[in-house]
Amino acid sequence: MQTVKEIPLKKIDDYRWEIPRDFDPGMRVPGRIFCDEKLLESVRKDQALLQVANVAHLPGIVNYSLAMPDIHWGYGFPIGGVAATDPDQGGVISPGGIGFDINCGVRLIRTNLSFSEVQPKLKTLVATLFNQIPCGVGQSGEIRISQTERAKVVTQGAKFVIKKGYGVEEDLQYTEANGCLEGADPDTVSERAYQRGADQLGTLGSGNHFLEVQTIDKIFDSEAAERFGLREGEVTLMIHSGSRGFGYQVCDDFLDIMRHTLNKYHIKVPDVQLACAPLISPEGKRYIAAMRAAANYAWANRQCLMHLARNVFEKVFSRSWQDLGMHLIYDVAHNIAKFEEHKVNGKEKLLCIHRKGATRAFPPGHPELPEAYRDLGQPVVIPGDMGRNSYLLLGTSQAFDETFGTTCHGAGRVMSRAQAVRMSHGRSIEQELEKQGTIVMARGYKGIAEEQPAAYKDINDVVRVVHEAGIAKRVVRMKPMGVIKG
Amino acid sequence: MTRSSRGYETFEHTADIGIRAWGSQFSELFEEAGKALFSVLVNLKTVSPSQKIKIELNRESGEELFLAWLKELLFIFDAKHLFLSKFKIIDLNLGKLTAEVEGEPIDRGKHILGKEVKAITHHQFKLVQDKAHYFAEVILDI
Repeated sequence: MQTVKEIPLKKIDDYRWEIPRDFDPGMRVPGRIFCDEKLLESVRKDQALLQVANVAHLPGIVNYSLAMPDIHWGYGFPIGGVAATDPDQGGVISPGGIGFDINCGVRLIRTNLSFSEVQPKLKTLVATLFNQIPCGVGQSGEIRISQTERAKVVTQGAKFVIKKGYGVEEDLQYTEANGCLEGADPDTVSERAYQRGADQLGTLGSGNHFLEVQTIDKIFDSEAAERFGLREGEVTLMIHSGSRGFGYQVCDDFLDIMRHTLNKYHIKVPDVQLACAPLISPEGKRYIAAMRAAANYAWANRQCLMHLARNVFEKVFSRSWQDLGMHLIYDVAHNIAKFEEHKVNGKEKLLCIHRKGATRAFPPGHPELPEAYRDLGQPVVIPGDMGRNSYLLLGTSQAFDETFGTTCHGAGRVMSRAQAVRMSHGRSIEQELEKQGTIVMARGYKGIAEEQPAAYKDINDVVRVVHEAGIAKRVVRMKPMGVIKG
Repeated sequence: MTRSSRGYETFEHTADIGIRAWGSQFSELFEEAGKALFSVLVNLKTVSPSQKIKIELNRESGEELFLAWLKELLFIFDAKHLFLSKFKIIDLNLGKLTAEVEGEPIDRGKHILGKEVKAITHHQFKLVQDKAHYFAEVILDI
C-alpha cells in the first residue's frame, strides 16, 4: 500500500485547486480539483486526492487528472474523477476509470401534476411503485430476454426495449447518445455477464440506487425551466440505476485481463486497480466493445424502469402517462468512457474521456444535444440524498473548455454505512423523513439508515461549486416527496 | 488477538463494506469468507439450505484462488438466485479447490435481505498467515 503523505494543493482560485506534477515523478499531468474550502475538508478525509495523483500516471493522459467537488474514494480512480487519454500518445483505457456499474446514470421525467394533486395519494403512489418496480437484493425483473434477443439489447440499447413496447421513440431523443453507443460487440461479453444480467432488465438494484417522486421547490433559470416545462410546485420523477450484474461482471472480467497485461505493454501504475491497456491494443478494443454493450444494457434498463413507473402513475391517477405529461427531460450516464472531439493546445483531437461519477455537461450548440434544447445546453441531472435536494443543471462552454465538458454527478458519501447505522441507533430515519414530508420505502433491513441524508455531502454545496466555477449552471431544484430503494 | 479459531466479521469502508475472515486451516478461511460474503447479502439465520452445488476451481496461487472463490459464490448468487449459507471445502491444495455449498432460492417472505454486492475488489486485499491462523480481508463494492 502506498504511504499516505500530505497532498500539496495549490489554490488557483476559490473553486480550483491543483496537485502539482512534482508531487510524484510518475505524474504525467497535474491534478485539478473543483472544490471549495468547505468541501475540501471532507475530501481530505479519505485517499481521494492521492487517487487523483495516481490517475495522472496513466499513459496518454491529457491536460489534467480532474476531480469534481463530489469526489470521494473509489477503486483506482476516485469517484468524481475525469481523465482524457489520447490514442495517438499511447493513451489507455482503464475499466477502473468507468467503475463496476458501467453507465450508472440518472433520468428525470416531468409531469403535469402539482404537489397538491399528488400529496393526498402519495402513500398509495409510493407503495405501488415499491410493489411494481423490482428492487433490492436478488430481485428478478418481469422482463425476460431470449438467447437471441440478448445480442440485440446490448447492441441497440434503449431502442430495442422501446420496440418491445417499453416506451416511445421520442424517449430516445432525450437520452444521452440516444440510448445506444455504437460499436458494442456482444461477443466480447462473457457468458457469466449474460447470466448475471439475464433477468435484471427493469430492476433498480440496491445501495444508492433509487426511484424518487419529487417536487420542484426552486427555479434558478425561469426561461430554461419554462422550455423544459418545469414549474415550481410541480412533480417530477427521478430514476437512478445502471447496468446491474451484467455491467459489474464486464468490469470484473476486464480488470482481471488488464491486470495481467500491464507488463506486456510496459505500463507502470501505482495501484493495480488502475489496470489499463492501450486504446489501440486488442485488449483495450475488446473492453471498449464490452463496455459499450454494458452501457447499452443500462440504457435499456432505465428505459424499462421508466416504463414501469409510467404504468404506476397511470394506475394511481387513472390517466394516461401522455395526459400526465410524463415526458423524459433527459437521461445522463455518469460512469462511462466515450470518444469525443476536444481541443488540446488549440487543436481538435479525438480523445477517450473517462467519467467515473462525473456527468457530461456539453455546451449550447453541441451537435450531440437534442434539437429541442440545443440552444440551451445539455440538461444535466444531479441526484442528492433522500432528505435534501436534486438538481437539473445545464452544460456550459466553460465546462467544454476546462473539464472536457464534464461536471459533478451527485452528493458523494461522507460517512461509512456502519457509521450511519450507529448514528441512527434508537432513531427511526424513516419517521424523521416522513415528518419532513418524504415517504421512504426500502427492501434491505438497514438500507434507510445507511442511506440517510447525514451520510452524504450536502448536494446544495456541491452544485453551488460547479455553478460558481461555471462548469454547469443551475436551472431548477427538486425536493423528495417519496423514495423507493433496494 | 482473542478470537475463536475460526470466524468472520465485516468492517467499515467509506462507501462500501469490508469482510474479514480467519481460520486455523486454509480451508476454514475459505468457508468463513463465504459466510462473511453472504452475511452482507442476507441475514444468514433466515436461510435454510435446500440445494447443494459443487464448485471446482483452479488458480495459480492461494490468493488468486481465494478471490476466485468469492467471485464464484457471488456469481452463483446473482445468476442462480440462491442465498448460500453452508460452505464446505472438500479438497484444497496447490491452487486447486473442490467445495460443496448449500443454499436456498431467494424468498422475500422468508429471508431478511441485506444489500447487493456489485463486486469482489482487489483493493487492500490481504491474505496472511501467522502461527495459528490464516487471515484475509476483502473490500466489497456495494
